[in-house]
Amino acid sequence: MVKRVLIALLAVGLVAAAACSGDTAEEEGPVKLGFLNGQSGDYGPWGHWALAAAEVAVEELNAGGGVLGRDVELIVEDNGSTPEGAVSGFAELTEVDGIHALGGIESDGMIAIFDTVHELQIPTICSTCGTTELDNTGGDMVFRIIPSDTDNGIVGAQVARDEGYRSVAMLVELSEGTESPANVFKAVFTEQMGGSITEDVRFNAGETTYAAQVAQAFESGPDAVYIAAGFETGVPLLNEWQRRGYQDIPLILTTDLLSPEIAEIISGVEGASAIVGATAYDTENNPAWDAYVPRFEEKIGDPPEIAFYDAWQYDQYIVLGLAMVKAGTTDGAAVAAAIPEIANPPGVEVFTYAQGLAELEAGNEIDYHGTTSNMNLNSVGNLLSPVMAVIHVQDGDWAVRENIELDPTLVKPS
Amino acid sequence: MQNVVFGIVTGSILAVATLGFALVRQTENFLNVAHAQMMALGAFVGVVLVDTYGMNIFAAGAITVVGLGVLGVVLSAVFFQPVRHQGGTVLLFTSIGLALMMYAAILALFGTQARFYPDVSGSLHRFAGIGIATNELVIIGLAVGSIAALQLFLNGTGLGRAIRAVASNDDLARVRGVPVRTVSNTIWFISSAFGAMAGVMLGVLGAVNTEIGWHNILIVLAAAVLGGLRSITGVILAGLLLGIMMDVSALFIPTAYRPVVAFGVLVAVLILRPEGILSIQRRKDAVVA
Repeated sequence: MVKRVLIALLAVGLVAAAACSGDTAEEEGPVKLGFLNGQSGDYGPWGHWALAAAEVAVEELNAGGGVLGRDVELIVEDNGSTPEGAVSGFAELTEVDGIHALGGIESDGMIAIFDTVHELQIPTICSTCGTTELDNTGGDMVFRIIPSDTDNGIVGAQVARDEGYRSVAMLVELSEGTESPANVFKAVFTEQMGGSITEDVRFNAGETTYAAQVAQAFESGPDAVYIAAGFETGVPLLNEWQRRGYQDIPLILTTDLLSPEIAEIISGVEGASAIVGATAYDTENNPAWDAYVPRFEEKIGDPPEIAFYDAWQYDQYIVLGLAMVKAGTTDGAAVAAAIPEIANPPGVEVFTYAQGLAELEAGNEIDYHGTTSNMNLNSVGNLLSPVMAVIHVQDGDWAVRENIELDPTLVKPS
Repeated sequence: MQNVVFGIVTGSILAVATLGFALVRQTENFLNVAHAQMMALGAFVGVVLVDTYGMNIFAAGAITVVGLGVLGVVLSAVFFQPVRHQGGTVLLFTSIGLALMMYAAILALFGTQARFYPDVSGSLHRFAGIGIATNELVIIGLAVGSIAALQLFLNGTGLGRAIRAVASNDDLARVRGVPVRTVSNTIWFISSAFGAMAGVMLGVLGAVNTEIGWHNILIVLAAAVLGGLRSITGVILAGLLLGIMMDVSALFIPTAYRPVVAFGVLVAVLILRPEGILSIQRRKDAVVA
């Protein structure tokens, strides 16, 4: 009997010791921030800038003394712009690297790891995912600091209306990230604006050619053609558009096509016109932006460019760093709970990690304003007031034509 | 009619790709799944020569086709010849293994980033309201020229007749002193060269990515089965037919269902004419009857 009690006590002791050593490891050593991003594949063209911006943020965290007095380490995993890559990359980051928080992920990947993120309690900021799936499901462990595809679909329809287009043909790649803004665009343009869709052509990626699809859309007699496609599909699609001589029909593109290669194709076609209603950086009288630009430029040799989506990658890690300081721990649930607290008012408005850290250490509440928006989040972890703009091709590159506000009379389709 | 032209372009590429695939099936008696990766490799090598080394597209294409033809001979000697005597099933699984190895090599050598041939489309020509770009004309011309050259080679040269003999009856050809090894090497060269040429054509019209081989192998297989694996003319007709049907179907059903059209036709043929649309066996049977 005594022997059994001793064995039981020994077992309890061993378990307790193991648990304690786990806690110690958790709260010691570097703070590990995962960067799970499409460094290759469809999102590959933006990968270089995205990673540079994330590194600028982590350098800023470390320059401010680290987070909770610990160095910050950025651990990078390329998800290949695929859900499968996101799942395997997330497993690597959590099981092997032991990250404390995650950033950098895109729509398809976010959906793929959404449940696991909650199970493992990994605070996650979605810096480049617009999927409408997150319109009502975030706010506990997952937060989004970029506009929803609902916003992108609405702003696309708004731009089409403001340009005077009454009929539009659609070319839409079959994927979550491209169909989601396209479906919102179609619903808002037809149901709320009275516009008509002359053709709605949906196609798979990886087709031998896109000649039939392009002809079907452009030959349907539209005022403009709305194209929602990934970069890898967009280039051959626009080559086909160029080849067939359809440049007289204006293009409305989605944000995934805002790449230098696409701008080059469009600018090389005389008489062509393309616009994008898209999210934009918050550049007007914004100290966060002013502080970020020279450091990014020093890092990469070029200033941030519209449509490169780097600044959201920066903002997410400043938010995570400040949330950890606010929570006083790297515990996932506590950090997630602190994210809305440091992003929303009330509090002293701060624009950098150093400012936020100083205010938090002084015992003050803070309201972080990032490079891309005021970061104010609603109850489901979405932006309350995204910054939007009309973007067009100018001198061979994408440029902001004008900043716009979402028309409040246009609503998310039911 | 415009969509018929699109279909002829698609079908021309498909015919070139399928011909390479069917040649190996006819002479080596197995489905060479690795043919898909030869197409992908062709697309990548071509785009690197054009984009990175600034080579003319035709020179790059010629180097790619010849180079990968030689590679095909080497790969057959290393992977297929040692297990040839073990039969079609072993060869099929060896081919699957080789396809995966080639896919991994493509990932390692070229990365996962999509690449694009510089715009080589040229001007658009219009005939009776139907538009066709210069590069599409070139693709059709190259397909017709290379297939005609192959037919001339098979029918008009000693080696070509030896290939046909091996395709007809491997054992008998061997007994009659046909140089089977030379025939085999020639077949692998031609098959791989045709695969590489199809890959370059696909890349010129679309994007070059690591999935380009996997995306197309099932359509190639469909065209091969549809044409009858032992009929070159059937394979050519099947490629054109599938290409035209897929692109014309865009007028009636959503284009997302293009592959469904291809496989719908395949299933119908398998039910109604399992030996393919132009079967040598059926013609032989008809003669006997």
